[in-house]
Amino acid sequence: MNLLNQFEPEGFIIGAVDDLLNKARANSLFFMLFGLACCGIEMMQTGGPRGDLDRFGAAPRATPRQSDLMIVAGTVTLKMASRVKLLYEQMPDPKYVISMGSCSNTGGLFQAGYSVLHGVDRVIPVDIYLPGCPPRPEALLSALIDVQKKIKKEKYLRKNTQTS
Amino acid sequence: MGLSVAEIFDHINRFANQEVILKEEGPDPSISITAYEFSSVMRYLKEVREMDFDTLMSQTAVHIDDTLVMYWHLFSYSHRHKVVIECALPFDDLSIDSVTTLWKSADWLERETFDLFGVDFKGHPDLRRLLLPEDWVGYPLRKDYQTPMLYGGMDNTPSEISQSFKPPKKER
Ligand code: SF4
Repeated sequence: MNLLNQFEPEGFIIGAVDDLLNKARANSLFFMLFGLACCGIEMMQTGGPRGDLDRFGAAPRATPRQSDLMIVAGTVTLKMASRVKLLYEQMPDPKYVISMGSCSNTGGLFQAGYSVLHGVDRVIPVDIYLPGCPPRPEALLSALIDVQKKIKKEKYLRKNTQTS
Repeated sequence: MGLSVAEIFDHINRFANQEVILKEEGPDPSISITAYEFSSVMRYLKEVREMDFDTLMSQTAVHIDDTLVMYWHLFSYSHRHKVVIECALPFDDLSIDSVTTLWKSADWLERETFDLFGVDFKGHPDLRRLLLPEDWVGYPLRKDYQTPMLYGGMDNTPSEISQSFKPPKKER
């Protein structure tokens, strides 16, 4: 429903703060630009005019300190794994992680190699696993929508609730 | 046009004192020389007019049985000819002269070979690991290399399901 021009002048909306907060958070998911391998190309494609990730309020940020979503797009090598962890730790709470592609889920087709981490969930907690090699832009969009759904279910302001 | 590999072989054979072998099978015929004469032959290939190999295109190695066979792919822009030089090293003495003084491009190529095979290039200005982290143990492209299950506190044991994808080990 379009709420534009539906209110009397000086009108107001009543709602739960939780809901409002969640709506705001879910629709302004800034994600960290973090392409590690070929999946990164597909992530750029998702940001392009056809996928258009921006229409969900998700904008790429170049620094972890401004982002709330990390899309691990590509093969995580052992050398990179400690960096991934460091970048994750620099993100402010609440933070979410999409593990994009078989490589970051399990090591993918490089898992027999000596240098590849068997899944990024060994170093950081993952919210959404997105299978595919590479996942299509549509799939990444659906993963983003899943993160939004997850955020909308959270009661972030209450005591003793899990944040991520 | 430049010389064929057989003609280059003749030149090297006349120059060298020790055994030089021409290996013609495969798409890239190669010339095998001994490690003892390696640096003088390489200098000859670079500096003599008829050779004039001004470019080192690639440098790599292969672990075959109990020797490490090193390869240098050379190309000459002035003569448009190319050659592959190979040199077998035994595993108890993995060292050879660096060619960084002849070709600048050898710098990182040799660092990579050091990184993955553990060859000691004598005279290299800065022999450090190139691709792997500094604290990595072992040389992964050797055939007897064991993949570490733990690295930097990260558990890297393959998951159970990934084991089922692997082909059965071949009998050797
Ligand atoms: S999952 Fe496939 S496309 Fe993605 S990084 Fe791995 S190999 Fe590349």
